[in-house]
Order: sequence, then C-alpha cells, then structure tokens
Amino acid sequence: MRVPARQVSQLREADEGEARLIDAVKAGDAAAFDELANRHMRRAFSVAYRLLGQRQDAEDVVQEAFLAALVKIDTFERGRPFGPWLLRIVANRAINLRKARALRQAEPIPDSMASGGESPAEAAQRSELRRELRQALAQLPEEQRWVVELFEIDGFTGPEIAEMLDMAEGTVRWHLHGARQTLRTVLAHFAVRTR
Amino acid sequence: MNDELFRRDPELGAALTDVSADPMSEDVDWTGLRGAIAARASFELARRRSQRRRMRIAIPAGLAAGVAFLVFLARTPERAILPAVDGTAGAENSIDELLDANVSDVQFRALLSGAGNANELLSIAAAEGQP
Repeated sequence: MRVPARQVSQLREADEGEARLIDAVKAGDAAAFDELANRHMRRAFSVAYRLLGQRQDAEDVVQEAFLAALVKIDTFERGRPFGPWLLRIVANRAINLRKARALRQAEPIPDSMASGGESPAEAAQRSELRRELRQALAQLPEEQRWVVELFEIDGFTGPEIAEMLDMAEGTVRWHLHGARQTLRTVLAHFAVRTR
Repeated sequence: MNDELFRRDPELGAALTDVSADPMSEDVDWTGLRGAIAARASFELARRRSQRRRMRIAIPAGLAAGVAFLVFLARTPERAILPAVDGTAGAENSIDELLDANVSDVQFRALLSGAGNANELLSIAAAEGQP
C-alpha cells in the first residue's frame, strides 16, 4: 500500500510535533504533558477498559500509566511514536492489576433497547444472540478475548496489539484465529436456528 | 494467509460491538481524568523543572571552576604544586647537598646525624674515639 507524499509529510510533521512535546515534558513542562495526556488518554482508557472491564479500574490504570511514562520518559527514544509505548505500559499495568486483585465481576452491560423498527420477535432473537455471544466471549481464554476485542471492536492492528500485550505477532494471530473460530461458530449456529 | 487473518471481519465486528460495552460511551469524565492525570504528574514535573534549573546553574559554575583551576595550574611553579609526600625526597636532596659541601668529616657526620650544636658534635667525636 502506497501512502501519498502529502500524507507522509503530515505524518512526519505530527511525529516532529510529538517529539517536541516530549522534549518539553522531559524538561518538566506541565502544558506539554497535559497536551500529551489529552492526545492519548482516550485510547489508553479504551485498552485499560477492554482488559479490566471496569471503568473505575481503567481510569486508575490510565492515571498510573501516564505517571509511570513520565517517570521513565528519559528512556524513551526520540522519534519513536509515543502511543504504542504508552499503551504497552497501560496494558502491563492492567494485566498486573487483574493478577494482583481478585477482580470484581465486570459490571453487567445492559441490553440496549430494541431499535424502533424491530418487531418483538426480532428483538427477542437479537437479545438471544447477544446472550450467546456474551457467554462465548466469557468462556474464551482471556488473551483470545482481549485480542479479538481490541482488533475487531477497538480497531487496533495486529502489530499494535502485539506490542501492547508484549506478544509475538504470530501469537496475536493465533489468538485471533482461535477466538474468531469460536465466535463464528456461535454466529453460524444462531443463523441456522433462526432461519 | 497471515495478511488475511489480520483483515477485519465486519460481521463478527458488528456482532461484538453490539454485545460489548463501548468504553467511549461509558460515563467517563474526560476533563476530570485529564485533571487527575495532571495532578498526579505535578510533583514529577516540578522535580524535573527544578533539576533543569539546578543544571542551568551548575554547568556554567562547574565550567568556570574548571577554567579557574587550569589557570591556577598554569601559573603555579611545579615544586609548589607537587611537594614531597614524605621526607624521603627531601632527605635525598639534603644528602646530595652534604656530599657536595666543603665540610670536615666530623661536621659531615654531625650534619648527617642531624646534630645541631657544638656539644652534640663533641659527644659524637668522643664516642668515635671509644673502641
């Protein structure tokens, strides 16, 4: 895939802008750090939430990860993208938190109301599919669940997931493949039953 | 095959999105989170600023001290800078001077033994006379 020259130049400018922000943060510039936090906190929260399943825990992990990144920022190589580095810290902390704590049960996710055009029968089917998929997700090994959710829902790429979860890309592929097989089977069975 | 595996599956993605909680739709107070991140970082940022200030003062001061020391070394005579660490070097110098000096044997011995006055010189001489 060829990236247009204009886009490459924009990316370079963005990288340079971020490198300057990081230099300023190294010198203790609070405004630069705030800007860096604003740029990355949503994705960081998304990863933490996906791994922990709880808003409050995810927020705590994001705060801790930003502080840890700041403390270690002198070891960060200039010119490298900050996002994946931060997300790896977030993922490490979230995984450690899971291990360290007897994690409280994830807050139940309420079924959204049936959309306007759905008949009661369709709404019931949809609800049934959700229940089965949720059950299948809950039964997946946690690495498989993280990988498939981060990939299919949050839109992270394979290499990004590999870096943040400290896995080889091949392992990410393996987990993705395993999770998809299980979940596609659920979808296929459901489709056959409701045909 | 590998590239294919890393291609998204829209049907599965839609189904998962439907059943999974969307972190972004969670009741997250982004402003509050940003403020909390800034608050937790404030001490470390202040430490970095203060370290930077100290370095700004310490580096020129260190350079100035280095230059001053080099100037001092350049202007001071070698013997004054490097005195004998113990008495050995000084003693060797004194023996050389004694050997070159025009003194009698008795005076030579007395000087060599460190005796400083006539009585001591005489006692040395008397002692030499005994078997």
